Amino acid sequence: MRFSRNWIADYTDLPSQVPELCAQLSMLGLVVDDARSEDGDLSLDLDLPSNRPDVLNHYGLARELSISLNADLRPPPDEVRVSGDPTQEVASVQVLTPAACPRFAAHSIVDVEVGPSPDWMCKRLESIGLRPINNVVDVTNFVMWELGRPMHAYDLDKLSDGQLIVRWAQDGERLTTLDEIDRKLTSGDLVIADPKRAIGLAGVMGGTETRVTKLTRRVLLECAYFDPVTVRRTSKRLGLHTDASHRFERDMSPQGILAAIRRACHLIALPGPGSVSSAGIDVVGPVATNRQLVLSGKRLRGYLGVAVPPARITTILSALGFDVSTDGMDFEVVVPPRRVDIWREEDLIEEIARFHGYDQLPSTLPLLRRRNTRGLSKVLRRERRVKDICAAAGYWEAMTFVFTSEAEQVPFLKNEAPLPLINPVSESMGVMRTSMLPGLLAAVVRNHNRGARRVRLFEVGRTFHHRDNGPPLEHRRLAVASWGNTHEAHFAGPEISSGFCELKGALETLQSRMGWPQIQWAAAQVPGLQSGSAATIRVGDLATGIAGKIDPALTTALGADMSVWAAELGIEDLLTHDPVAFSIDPLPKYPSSDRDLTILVDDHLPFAKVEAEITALQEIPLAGLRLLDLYSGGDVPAGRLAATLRLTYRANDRTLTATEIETAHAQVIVHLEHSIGAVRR
Amino acid sequence: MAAAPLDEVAGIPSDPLALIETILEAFKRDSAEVQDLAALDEIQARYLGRKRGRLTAVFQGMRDLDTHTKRQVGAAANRARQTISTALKKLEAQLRSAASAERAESEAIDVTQPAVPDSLGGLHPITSTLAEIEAIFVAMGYEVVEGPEIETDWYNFGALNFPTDHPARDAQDTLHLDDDLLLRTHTSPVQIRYMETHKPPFAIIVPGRVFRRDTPDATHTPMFVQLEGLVVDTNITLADLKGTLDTFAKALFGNQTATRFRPGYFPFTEPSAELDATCPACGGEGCRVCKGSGWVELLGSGMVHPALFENVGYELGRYQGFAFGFGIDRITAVRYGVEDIRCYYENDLRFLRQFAS
Repeated sequence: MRFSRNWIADYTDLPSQVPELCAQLSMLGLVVDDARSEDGDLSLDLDLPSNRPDVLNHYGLARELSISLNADLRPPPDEVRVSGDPTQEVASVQVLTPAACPRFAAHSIVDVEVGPSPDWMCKRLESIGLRPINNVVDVTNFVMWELGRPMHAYDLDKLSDGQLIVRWAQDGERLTTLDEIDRKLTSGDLVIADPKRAIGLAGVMGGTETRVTKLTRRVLLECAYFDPVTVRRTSKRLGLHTDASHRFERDMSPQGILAAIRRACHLIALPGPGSVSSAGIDVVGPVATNRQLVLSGKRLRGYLGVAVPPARITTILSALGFDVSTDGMDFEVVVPPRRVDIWREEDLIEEIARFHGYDQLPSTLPLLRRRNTRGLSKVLRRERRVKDICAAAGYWEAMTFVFTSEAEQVPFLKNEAPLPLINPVSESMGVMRTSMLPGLLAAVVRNHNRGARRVRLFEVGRTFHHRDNGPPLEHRRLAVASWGNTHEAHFAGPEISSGFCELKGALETLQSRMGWPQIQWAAAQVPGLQSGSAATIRVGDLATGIAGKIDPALTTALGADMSVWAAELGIEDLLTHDPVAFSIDPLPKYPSSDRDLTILVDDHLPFAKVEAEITALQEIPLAGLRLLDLYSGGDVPAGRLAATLRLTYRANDRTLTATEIETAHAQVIVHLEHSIGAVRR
Repeated sequence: MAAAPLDEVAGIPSDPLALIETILEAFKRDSAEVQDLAALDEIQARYLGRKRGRLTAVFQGMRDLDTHTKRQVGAAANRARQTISTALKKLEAQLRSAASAERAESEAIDVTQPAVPDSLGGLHPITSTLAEIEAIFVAMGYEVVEGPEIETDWYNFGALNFPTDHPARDAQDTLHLDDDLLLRTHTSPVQIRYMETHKPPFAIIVPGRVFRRDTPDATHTPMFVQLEGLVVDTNITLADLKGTLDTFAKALFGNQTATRFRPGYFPFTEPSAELDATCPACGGEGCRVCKGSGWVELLGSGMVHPALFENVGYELGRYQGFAFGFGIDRITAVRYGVEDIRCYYENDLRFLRQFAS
């Protein structure tokens, strides 16, 4: 919000140096976002706390600065020569909604001559980016930016019967506001009306029909207090944020209204013609008594960690407008009505801290009576380790949004509907993810489209699921995705194309390094994964997940025909459970021997079956089994596959003789021939 | 290459001493022609071999000589053997050295060839920055706590002393699942959840993802990561907060870092404070990162508002504490000069790889 340095300087003396002024404001909690020199003035863009409507004006800022600068505060003049009839002879005010409008004051000025404002006022208004309109409207704006009270001026002659009525709008009632927009109102909007029609949106914006124009001779000034929530709701509903609504929704105090009217009358009638009414109208609802609070000197010291001299406390509070009485220990104060933010002793402590200076506070460390001595929790430590292992396995950690488009989630859904957001940033972020794969897939494709040759990504995050009883379920998951060769191209380097075995290797590496139970893999139909290239996975009874090739139709839809291999695994229970216990095996005392074997088998035979048949031969001294090679085509008959196995033989109690090894190996061959119809090559 | 067998040479001396001389001369000729270790083995066998070695034959022939001659011939033959074997050893050393030089030459590498590329992955910059920050607070005795990302209006706002329909909520434009459920706009709801189930004293930090209804641009993303801190006991002061935050800033950015503690406003703290640190990019000189001011805004903080203690049912007036919170995204951006924070969530490997260390 823009303010003018020179305007503030009308009420108190300011430091001439810009940085010093900015530092003063910042150290009071009045943040300077930007300060720019313009036409011999300094335009200050301030970010003001939303609980401080009392500083949303130049005089309010001057009050704060005068205290911290120890300078005088000069209130603006407001003497008025009254010559007109009492306002109630020419106008009337009826408040039908006292709860939404606890106070409404009106004051008439007749025989006005509407014309341009004096130069000095135009300059002030222009300095904060306002366009001067005429000497009446400008005064209402000026007073709002000077004292903080929004005001409105009506052409009294355009009010039917000179009446102002504060009431709820009727559903469907229409009003053209000063911005020339015809607006449809609801019964939740508070309006100012005359007997015929709504003429203004209370606390937000006036209407065009009753505005002050060049032809206006009689003016009715309004200054009121409207319920902040009512103003805020109307302003939000209409998307109409105005200088007035900005102040009302911050809960102005009902007091200060008459002072603003007096100042406005002074500014309108003093320089030009105009006869100010001798008595205005002031409709006052129940008036709250000013709050009284007690500030304990001891508590202040215990809160700030530093002692502030009692005399200084009294000075600060008095300058802020508090009535203070003290016995030197405790301070009884009466809160000025404009300080709508002060309700408790702690609020007073903040005032003392602000003006004593945060920079004057000592820096100490708390003596923690209960300290954490165990570092991260087991769950967080394990989560970190999962990430480290994934990184060591060649995967880069990604972070994707927890909301995606519904269309992205649908292909991966199984008996579940994602939770929709009712006000998403955009449709592409419309639902809470039930799977992390769409987000990761999009990242893989994005990398591909930007020229990457290989991508390995993982993410640890949460998915969100509907639950009949209670809040949505948040599920901690790991997702991995890979595309392209395992290594970057290099003349001496190994390059293995990404595929299921690499993905499986990454997950099994994680499983063994984390001490999780063995993973069971089972071919399955999985939504989002290509049929025949997908599996469900189980990690003991602690976790389930899926793995396989992303349906190429999905990558094609993203603009690239790619083979992306991906897996997703629930890890919540894996992280809370302790790893599987293990003990160390002694190193083998006797040597082992390898024998390779190539067999032809049916090409639909799962490798697990071959493995199971071999390991079923318990009498042979088998210590290891590897699949070295797998090929088809060439001289391999159609429908068959040539598999080269490496069997490792070893006994624990002796060195095996060549004969023993050959016998065992022959036994394996015979068994495979009988059990799975393997043919040796 | 091999010399003609000795027995083919005319005039084999019958005198053993002369024979030894002849053998030595023949060895000289033969050894001069040796080019490799195989040939070396061959002449070694030819002259000193157990079965057919020429010199060996001389030793064998000594059986038939008289004692005097035997002694003469024996001495000469031993000398000859010594000469031959020394020469063979010398020759072997030369040949071996030449062979290894040759192998080294043929296997020589170009050390300027590029290395096999790094195939390791890495952590997201937010994870690694968070880990560093957590370590700082854990070392100070804080416990790390988590909480749900979907929250109720009460935990996210009400219990934190945000009035309903108040502009204080505007700063945190909220994504809603329904009238009550929302995506937490900050990690502060975990303060309430933790206090509901724990009595002071305690010191915790709470990292986590938070969400705002912001359209992505260079300085906004609808999701980011925050870290919250909360310390409560009977005697915690604003000065303790100031000291803690200053310690943290120095630990993260280095001891040369200065901090500026100034008033702020948050509904859930009173008094409230903000902390600036000297810009880590320019050390306070003023640069693009700090928009020329020399300072960067680090975090918001304050003394826990007593309304929060009331909302969790703590005994009135008994406790005081401080809280602070900041965006890890922002701290990471300040540290590394990330100018567009959307990069964090685009997961472009060219960005992620830069944080490999």
